[in-house]
Amino acid sequence: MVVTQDNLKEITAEMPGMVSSGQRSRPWKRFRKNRSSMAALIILGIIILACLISLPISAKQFQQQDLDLNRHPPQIIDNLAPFGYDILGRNLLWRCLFGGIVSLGIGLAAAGIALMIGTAWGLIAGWYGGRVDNLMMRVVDILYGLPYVLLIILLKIAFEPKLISLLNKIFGTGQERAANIIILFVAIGGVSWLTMARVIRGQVLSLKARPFMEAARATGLPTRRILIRHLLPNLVGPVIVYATLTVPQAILQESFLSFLGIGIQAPVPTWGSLAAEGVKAVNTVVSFWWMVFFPSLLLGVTLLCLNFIGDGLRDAFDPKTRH
Amino acid sequence: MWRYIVKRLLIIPLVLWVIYTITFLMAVSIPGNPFKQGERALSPDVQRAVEAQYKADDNWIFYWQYLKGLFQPIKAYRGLGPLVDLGPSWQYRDWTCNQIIGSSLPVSVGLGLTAMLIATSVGIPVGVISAVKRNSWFDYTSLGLALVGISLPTFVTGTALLIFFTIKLTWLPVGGWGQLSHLWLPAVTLSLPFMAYIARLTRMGMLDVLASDYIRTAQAKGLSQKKIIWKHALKNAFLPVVSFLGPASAAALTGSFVIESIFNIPGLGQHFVAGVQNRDRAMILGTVLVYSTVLVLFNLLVDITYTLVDPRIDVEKSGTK
Repeated sequence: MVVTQDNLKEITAEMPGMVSSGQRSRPWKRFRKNRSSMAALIILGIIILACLISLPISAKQFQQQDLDLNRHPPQIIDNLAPFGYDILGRNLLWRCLFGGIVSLGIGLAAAGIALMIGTAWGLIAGWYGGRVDNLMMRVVDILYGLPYVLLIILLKIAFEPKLISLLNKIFGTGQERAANIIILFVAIGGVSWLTMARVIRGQVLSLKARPFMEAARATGLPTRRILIRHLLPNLVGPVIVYATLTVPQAILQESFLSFLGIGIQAPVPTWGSLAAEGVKAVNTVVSFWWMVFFPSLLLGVTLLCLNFIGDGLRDAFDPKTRH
Repeated sequence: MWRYIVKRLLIIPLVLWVIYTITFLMAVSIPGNPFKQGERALSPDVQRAVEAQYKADDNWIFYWQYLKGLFQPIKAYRGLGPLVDLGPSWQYRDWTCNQIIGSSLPVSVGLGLTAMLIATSVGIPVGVISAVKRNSWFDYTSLGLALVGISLPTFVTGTALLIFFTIKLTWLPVGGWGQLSHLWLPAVTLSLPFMAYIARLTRMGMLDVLASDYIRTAQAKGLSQKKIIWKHALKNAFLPVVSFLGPASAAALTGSFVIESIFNIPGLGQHFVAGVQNRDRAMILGTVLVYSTVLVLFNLLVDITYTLVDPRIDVEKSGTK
């Protein structure tokens, strides 16, 4: 076939790697066939729904304490407390349900920030290449080189007081809790975008060398159109996969910060901080197992589901690994 | 190849200098210093004298003094001080950072090496077998277990192991450091997430490689399946694992705060956190520089391993990875 300006577009439409409208639904079809990922999606859905539906009650109940009930084991008959009570006599059921909202919120916020910064960073570096790429990737390398715990602690200590005074100025006094949550969102998101930037850059570099991109340039399409119509659709796969995998990592990081005592401040619970509190209450004489077990179970199952979904998405979007 | 290694080694001081500067700027931006938090308030003159002694009163002087101390071959040659002087600790004033890091780093390195050994010697075979026997019960079980390893915070897995093996079974001591029996639980706990990642990466790499043409050629030649898998395929499937092992080993060898606090181990990880929380500027810079040096060296090792495993990869052309 002779390639002319007129039929080039038709030819490129057939080329492998090019996303056409018919292919868009294929990843989803493949994903649906993956039984473990679908099961994970359903379980995750149930957990999220439970947290959301109970929110009106759990938002009021999560800090209700009854000191007579401190460290009381799980019970259902007298009080509705299948997860038992914590060290201050707070019902762990409501704390776990409310903590789920906070933990998942952190995961989503971090993934959102990673998505925005990481994609933009990787896209620009990969697209322009050469010196720009070199410089931008060295920045990522250096940020990788700093231990992230330190980065988060420093961000928190350096900016939290400033943010509190800023929020107090705007919304009136008593914004410490809001400032604490915002700082943690940003700090965890701020260290999560590095992997995303690397992945996107690699993807852009390999896409740029593919024939269909060359063809798009050859037809004289403006850069913006090439970026939006031809490059971005092919990045959707890795972006979704890595965003999904960022959520569990961010939740884990928050739990680690809670263990250090610099996570979300009490009395607002997260699964991580509840598990950390439980771990600290364990001793050799009596193990208050319910204080560790239920938050860890929810945390573990949720992260397991997210990881399963991420794996399933990767298989669905990347036909190479689908043997 | 040698030219490349020398070139990379020459860049390392530059990279470390950038990291030093960024860390310094971050450390300066934290308000407060440990000299103001004594048991009783010092008189202003004494306070000023103490701060002057530690160069805490002038950030610029501190920056250069500390930088100069980081590499002082002439002083070391004359026997006037260590080659790398990380300065006196601001918080623990009877100690220098060299002494603190010198006593805690070996502990962390020992623990980290054991953990990485466990992680690779279990993770790689598991990954290979689950790739070869894809979709078998072994594959599903090991994948599921690997995901559990990634999905639980180490303070939960560590505590669970601790309770099970020391209190329920009483096979091992609860905590502490100094005997071989103290090593197993923390090493296993530390290795779990790494093991999980290694198994997954090996499996993915193997699946890719096993579908490639040269494996089919090897099969057509009549080579034994064992030889194909463990020699021909694993060598190339190993590459993603190698690039993971670099930063992972750096993190494992420089200590983990969680593991150290659960098992009561005098490692370096606690000093990362304590340094920041105490506003101990010398300690922050010292720990970050130790970690960064290890990381940079391991990344270089990774790139060298790449060319050894796959001679087609030309690190000189592709630049630093």
